[in-house]
Amino acid sequence: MTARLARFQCPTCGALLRSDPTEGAVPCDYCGRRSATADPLASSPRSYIAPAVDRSSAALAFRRLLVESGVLPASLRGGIEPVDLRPAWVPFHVARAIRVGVVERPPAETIDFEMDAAVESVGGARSVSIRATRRERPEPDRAKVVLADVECAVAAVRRPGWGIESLAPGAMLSRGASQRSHDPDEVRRHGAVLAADIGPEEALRRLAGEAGLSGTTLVAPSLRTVLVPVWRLRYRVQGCLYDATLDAVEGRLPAARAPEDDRRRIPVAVAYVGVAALLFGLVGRGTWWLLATAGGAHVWLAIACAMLVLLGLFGSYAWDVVRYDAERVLSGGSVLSEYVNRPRSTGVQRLLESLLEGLARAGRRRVED
Amino acid sequence: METTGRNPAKLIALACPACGADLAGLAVDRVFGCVPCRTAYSVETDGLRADPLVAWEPEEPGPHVFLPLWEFEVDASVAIPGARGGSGGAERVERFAGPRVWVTAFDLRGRSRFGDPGGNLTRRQAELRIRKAGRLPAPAGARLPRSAAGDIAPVQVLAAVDARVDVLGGRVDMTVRSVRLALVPFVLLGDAGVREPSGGPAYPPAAIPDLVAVRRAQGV
Repeated sequence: MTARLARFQCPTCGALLRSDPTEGAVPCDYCGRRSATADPLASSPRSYIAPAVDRSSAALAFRRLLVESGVLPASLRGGIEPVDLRPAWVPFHVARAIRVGVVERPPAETIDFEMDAAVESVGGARSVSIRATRRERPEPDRAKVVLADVECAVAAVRRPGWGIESLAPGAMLSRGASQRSHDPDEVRRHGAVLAADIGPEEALRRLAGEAGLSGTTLVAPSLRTVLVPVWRLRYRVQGCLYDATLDAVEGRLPAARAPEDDRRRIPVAVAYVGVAALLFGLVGRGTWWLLATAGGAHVWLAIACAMLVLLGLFGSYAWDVVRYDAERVLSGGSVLSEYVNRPRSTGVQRLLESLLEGLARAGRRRVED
Repeated sequence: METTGRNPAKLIALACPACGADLAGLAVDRVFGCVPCRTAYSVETDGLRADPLVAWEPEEPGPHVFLPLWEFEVDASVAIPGARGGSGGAERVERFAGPRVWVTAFDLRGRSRFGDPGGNLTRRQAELRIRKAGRLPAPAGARLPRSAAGDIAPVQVLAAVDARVDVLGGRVDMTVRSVRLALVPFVLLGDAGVREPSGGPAYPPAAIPDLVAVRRAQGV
């Protein structure tokens, strides 16, 4: 990574500025005069969201949430051995602007009718006639004056597996988290700030994209950097190391990884094979009916292929379960199962794919003939 | 690692070009003020831009915090097009009744939820007395520079001329006679936020993130 170091000089006396003027108006240590950047987008004042989860609470929360979220099998609960618990700050670029202009609204889809009902008596009988006429109404106003704030937060770091995409500083603040202006000592006390590898222009680009309504413009765009505190836990389960992230503001678990329970492998594989056998039996029973009604070699071929596909499908599932180690991954609020070191497609899958491909080719040829 | 010897961003000294005094304002502000000269300086890309700085006299009892708003004196009219679709219609020209347009200069959150003091004052055409004598309160919290306020002012005129929620849009012809940064006395409601002058709506602290810093700067 290339870091860009900038040297700022006081425009009054020429002394080097110790404070970073991109964080707002800063005083010169020599002459005391403050200076500010001329370009509003060159300054990005820092602020941070105060952490609400301390180290001991984080350690307890990790143990509880790993099981509650379903990422760690309950049978492995006692096997967690924390190795390292580290705080960190995740920087977010927050772009903000005022959207002004006039926005056209789509016309209303409603049609108004006027209903006239008349009751007539003819002889002794009464008849009711209802007449519906479309009501003419003036063209509705279809535009709206817009004067609204728009904001877009983009994580300034790429950390796969950290669950950063589910952290939202704006939502945290709206739920009552307190934001404080940058205090280097206070920030250092909590932990290290992750080095940014995404520029603030990405936030501005997304903001412009979100506000892309015709007739509106973005006025007074500004940038700021918001630091969101997280706890990063490294722990050992069954001799392997795993990582998890805890949001230090609200105590949520955005990302975690844990092993699958090995004791479940055989029952799960047996269950897969059992389901395959059941389906095999069902298809076999239906075969007699098909043979009785249609008969013929092509029916036999179709049935044999269907059975092979079913067996292959469930067999490959069972093989994956037995052959490869699996891990549970918590990401985006849902827990998924991932096989470790499993090739993109296994031998059984390749066989199935080639079989299906051959069948499709044969079908195409028949259609062409 | 790359190092550069010159400033990648142009820095502007926050000193009054007229008297040399330090300009007052929060670190995050984009508009600073010289209290002795009664001048507001917007930090624009081409340097400092000067406009008069005034403070309005509080009319209601209670502690006040002075929040900055841009005040434009204008002659304006809005040409509103006729109904679209069907038969069309003639363009209707409406004159903007009031002489003043206000644009909120401080950082305001939840504009659509809590309201906008600039829009309210423009619609109400609030008449406040300028504080002639005595020292001005320290200007603080002005985030919106003069150039950006000039972009917003026509929209405020449009919204004030046709106060309906839905309007047909229109073209604003506006001649700006004068512009100044006004420090408007908002009534302090303790922990409940502030209230607009002359019986306007209240704004919670969440709507004005810089409120604590502005109070500290003004010693309230």
